Amino acid sequence: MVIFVNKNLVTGLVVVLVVVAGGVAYFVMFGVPKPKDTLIVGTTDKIISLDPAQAYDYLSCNIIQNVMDGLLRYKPGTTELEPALAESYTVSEDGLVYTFNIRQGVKFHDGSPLNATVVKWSLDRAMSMGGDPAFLLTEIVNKTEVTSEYQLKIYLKYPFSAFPSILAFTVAYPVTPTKYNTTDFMTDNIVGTGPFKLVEFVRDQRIVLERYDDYWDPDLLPKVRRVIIQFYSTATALKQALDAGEIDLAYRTLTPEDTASYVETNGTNFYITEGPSPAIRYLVINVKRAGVDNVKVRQAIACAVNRTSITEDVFLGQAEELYSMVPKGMWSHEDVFLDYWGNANVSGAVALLQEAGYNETNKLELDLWYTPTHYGPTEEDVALKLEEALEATGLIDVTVRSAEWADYRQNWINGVMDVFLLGWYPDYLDPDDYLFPFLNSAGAESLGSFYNDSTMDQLLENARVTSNVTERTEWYHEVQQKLAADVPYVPLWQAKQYAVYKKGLLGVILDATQIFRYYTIYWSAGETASSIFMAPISEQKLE
Amino acid sequence: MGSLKKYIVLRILTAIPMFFILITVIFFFLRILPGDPISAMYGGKLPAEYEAYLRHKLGLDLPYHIQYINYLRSLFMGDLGTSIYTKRPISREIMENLPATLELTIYGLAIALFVGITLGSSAAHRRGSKIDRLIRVYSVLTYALFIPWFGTLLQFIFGVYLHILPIGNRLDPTVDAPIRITGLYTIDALLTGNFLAFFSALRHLILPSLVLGIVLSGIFVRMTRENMIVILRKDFISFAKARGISNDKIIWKHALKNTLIPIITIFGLQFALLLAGAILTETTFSWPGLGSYLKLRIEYRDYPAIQGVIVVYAILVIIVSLIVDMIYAMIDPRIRY
Repeated sequence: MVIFVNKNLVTGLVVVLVVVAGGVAYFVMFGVPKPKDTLIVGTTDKIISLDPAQAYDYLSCNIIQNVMDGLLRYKPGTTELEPALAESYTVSEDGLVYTFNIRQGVKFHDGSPLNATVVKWSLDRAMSMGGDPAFLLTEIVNKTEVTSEYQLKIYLKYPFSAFPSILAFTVAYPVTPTKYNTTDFMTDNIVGTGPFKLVEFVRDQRIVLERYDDYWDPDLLPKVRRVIIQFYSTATALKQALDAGEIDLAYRTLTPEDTASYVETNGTNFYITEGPSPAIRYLVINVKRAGVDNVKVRQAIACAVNRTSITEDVFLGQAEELYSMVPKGMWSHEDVFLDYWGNANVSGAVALLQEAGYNETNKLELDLWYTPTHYGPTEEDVALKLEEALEATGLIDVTVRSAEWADYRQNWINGVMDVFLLGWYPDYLDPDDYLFPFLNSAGAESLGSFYNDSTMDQLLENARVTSNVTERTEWYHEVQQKLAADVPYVPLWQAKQYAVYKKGLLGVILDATQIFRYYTIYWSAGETASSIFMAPISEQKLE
Repeated sequence: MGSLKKYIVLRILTAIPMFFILITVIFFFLRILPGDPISAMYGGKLPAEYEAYLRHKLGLDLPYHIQYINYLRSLFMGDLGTSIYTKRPISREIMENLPATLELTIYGLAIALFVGITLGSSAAHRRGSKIDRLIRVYSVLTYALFIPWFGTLLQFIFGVYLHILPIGNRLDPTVDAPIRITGLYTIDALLTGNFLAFFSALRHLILPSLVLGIVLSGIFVRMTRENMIVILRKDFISFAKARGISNDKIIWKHALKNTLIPIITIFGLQFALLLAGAILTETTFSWPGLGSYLKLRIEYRDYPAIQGVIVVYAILVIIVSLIVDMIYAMIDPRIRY
């Protein structure tokens, strides 16, 4: 009897094993078939919160940008604003009142309508809930007012011409009161008016978006039906997943070495698209410290730094030399530092240092600071390249020092560092966010340069009051000229961004807004994309 | 059984101070480390007053001992707190991630035990032979394997080169997760008859559980081998041999049964190691379990989340060692105090 039972058990076990092995073998051989109109994206980023009132990290905001709309949006491939949920807007003469005409007939994914009351409710909600990015609105907005079903007025606390670009940021995106409330953030679900709607979100695993067929803007109706974003823990796993064919596209972030290898083999199995990033890196000079309080010395530093050695040797070409605090690709950018001081201009630096009274026996003693982990492992190499470039003048003695981030911050607030490396990622895409915080007297103090100049304060203020872009460009021209002459900062480089994807995909746009648009991407019917590399934007068609 | 009950109560009582020492050390250790949640998340980008306001809102500006008392108070009420990073309840986030870790460790442990016992017994059986030496080398090598390196190697071979197994995650991108019952995909898929999800989940489990299993198997090989050698010298084995029972039967039936008791003990002792191994395996295979969760939250200095995971880990280790002790005490009456 015992033997009989055992035999049955064994037979059962064998059957189960055979079925399991067969199933596994089938999937091993054939995998799970993928529908053709689906795009699978891999990333090492994670989503913190899908609620626009709370989201303040890259991927959370990026999903919101694909599922929701703002009153205004960026024209793909540029940093220019264009109307979205607001059809038009006007600004009062004093720059304090913005009147928006809300687009009619727009519906949220749950069918609820968009109108001025909903927009007002959303803005008030974002401000009152005090999420991490709420300060962007609360610092500027005085109050909101509905003037008709489709018209909204926003009153500002002070004139602020970059306000439209804040409205293009996710914190100001309208949400529907039918799904959202004012007490809790909706972290794991999202309902918007955008080109995609959310199908599934499994935290730290994947997020699935589907085309919203009733999208109000037929020009930007997604070309793929489904987008699946898979999360990977490491850059190595992301690369392997791409190589193994598990994903169609990898965006943020491969290692510089892997990126370099995809650049080299571009067109073989994958295409790589390169674009500018809005992140900038620069040197801060504390204008109150002995030595660098002399403008000639600061100008000499601006001459001597060798940006090419940083972008090529340290970043393997995956960064771009930067000659203004306003990044390349943004309106009003001018290469002022290149025009004034050149790059690795040793003779220019020597002449200026000699004018300032330094010579081979009386060298300038300079402390150059960096922070070893906050900006990644390349930071020390950058500091050493800078040391090399400054010492090439033969008139500067550089001591390279480092401090962990918490101490580093304290150091710059206390004003104890001569020259130090820092980085900036914008909150809103406007030249104002690259100039005002750095150069106005109060901002310069909190960012460690202690630059204080009333003419500069006035120029920055002028650019904030007018909302005319031509006039603002003129003011920013003057600001940048003065920045290059006074040198409280030395812009060094601008990051680049990369997307690597299977041959057959088209429509990848990487621009300085760093908004990754899933809705412009499509599977080609035979066209080649070999020319896309290095000229990503001009090659894209947005029909 | 009276003394067994007393023993269990005693074991639980001794576990309590250990638990508190652990959470206290973690609490202060986190706060002494450079960097705090706000600057780790926003890197000094926010205006200084706003940063101060956020710190105040989270109670991070309070003196450490007040923060500690507040923490203990809510912990006593069974509240693990809210994540600084996502603003969601920690208990909910842990419950979302725990099943993935359990599924991985169950399969990993099964592989470790199977490989460990099979190889360990074979080595003991053929003590001193070439096979024995090979198996011993295996146990030392696997014990020393660095999981991310080994995992990446297997990903390259089976994923990138052979294209037969996935690089990471729990399911194929196009396969929907099975309806949640236990949170263990293979079990839920079977319970709901979702075979597509079952095979997809199984396919994704192969590499990570193999890596975890192989790395953990080393210690089981050694333990099985050592204990089996001792057992094989015992009188009852000699008697069995004298009765003409075949060698295989002696090893697999009589000797192995007696070797299992120390193996259970080792398992109890190794459970913490298993969890540590699972963290590395999870981060290598993008496996969305507690380990990946912990790693991410350490990067962002999400104090409540880190503390929550440590509490859960500590409870798991305590429960497992308690169960092991109980089994042991039941089997061996000498262990009662």
